[in-house]
Amino acid sequence: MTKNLQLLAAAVAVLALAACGGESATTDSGAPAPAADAGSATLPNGVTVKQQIEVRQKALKEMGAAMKTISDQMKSGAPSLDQIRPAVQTIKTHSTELPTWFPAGTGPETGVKTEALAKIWEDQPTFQAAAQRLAGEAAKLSDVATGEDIAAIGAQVGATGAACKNCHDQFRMKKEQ
Amino acid sequence: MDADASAQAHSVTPQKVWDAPTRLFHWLIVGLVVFSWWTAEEHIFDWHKASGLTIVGLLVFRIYWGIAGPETARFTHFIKGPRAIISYAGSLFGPTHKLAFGHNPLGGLSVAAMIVALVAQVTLGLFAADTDTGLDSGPLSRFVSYDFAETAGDLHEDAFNILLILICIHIAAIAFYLIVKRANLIGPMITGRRKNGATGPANGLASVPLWRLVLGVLIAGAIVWPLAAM
Repeated sequence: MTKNLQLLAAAVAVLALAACGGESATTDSGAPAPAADAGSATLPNGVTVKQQIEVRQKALKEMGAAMKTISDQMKSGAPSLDQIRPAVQTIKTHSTELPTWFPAGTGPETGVKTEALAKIWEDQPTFQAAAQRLAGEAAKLSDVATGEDIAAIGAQVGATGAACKNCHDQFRMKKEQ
Repeated sequence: MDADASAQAHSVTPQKVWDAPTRLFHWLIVGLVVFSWWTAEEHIFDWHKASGLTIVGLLVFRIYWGIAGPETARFTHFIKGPRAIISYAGSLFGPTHKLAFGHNPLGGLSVAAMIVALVAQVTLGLFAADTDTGLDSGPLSRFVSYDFAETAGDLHEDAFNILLILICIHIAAIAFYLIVKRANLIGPMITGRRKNGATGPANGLASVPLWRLVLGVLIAGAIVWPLAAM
């Protein structure tokens, strides 16, 4: 009995240690070293690569903050439409601009820090469809938010968040990568 | 394992080392840390949040138990200064080395570090917001700015690696005792008792009154309940 328990314990400990070793072995990241003049090239629209990436990062952050404002209101118990409506407009406006934020030549190959995956440019039809889906959901959200039906707004916020996630899942860098 | 049967089989009375609440805390944390990791990987947010809040409650209880619990559960019993830790490490391979009653000074350091890491982990989680949907967020996230919640979320993900390292050290130490020192530390954490205890009171761990346990559970519940309702 004692012997078996010890054997079992030893096996568990060794397996756990093996798992630990395996974990640390896979955490090395092989990110390419950025070029010295990363992002200083000018794009056809007149801004530099670095500026273009900063513009979209700022705008996406604004969308995230707007989603949080709405989500916080929904969870507050007494959602304020005065808080929700401007945030909805931010999301709607940005959702229509989003397809212009990712011109060719602003991907990870530039060496500028970005979570945008090269797949955005390799699979434009899927990316544009994902952007269209967001714009559609955001437009619906804007419509429903003109009303007072909190439950309906909540449901459409969920659909909009799912559209955000749909694109992030496919085209945004995950931490493990 | 029945204590009486075990005593007859070995004609040595097993010494009680760990009380039931401390053991239950330990194994629930094991299960919930794994479950929290898995639900995070799979984006099963509702269960991740429930798991995290349960860990909050367990940690509140454990910190209380570190003050009000029985001897081996107490911080004053196992959190030692650098001198005691170095002295213990130095004697590890010496002829006078005996297995500690409860945590040894080095193991106590490891346990304290894991508790601190878990507290940091759940605290970050309470304020974190998921930036993939903009919707899944910790119960205290709505009281902080987007940037704060985003940073908390990033750190919540990063800090898990610190916890993993501490867990690996913990498991490595247990493997060391098992293989090198021929001492099974896992059994006592399951049964609460050890055989041939050479240190600590001969009667084993003294119990504390039941009301202290009840009070600890009430305190943990009083903190987790409002968080779960947010």
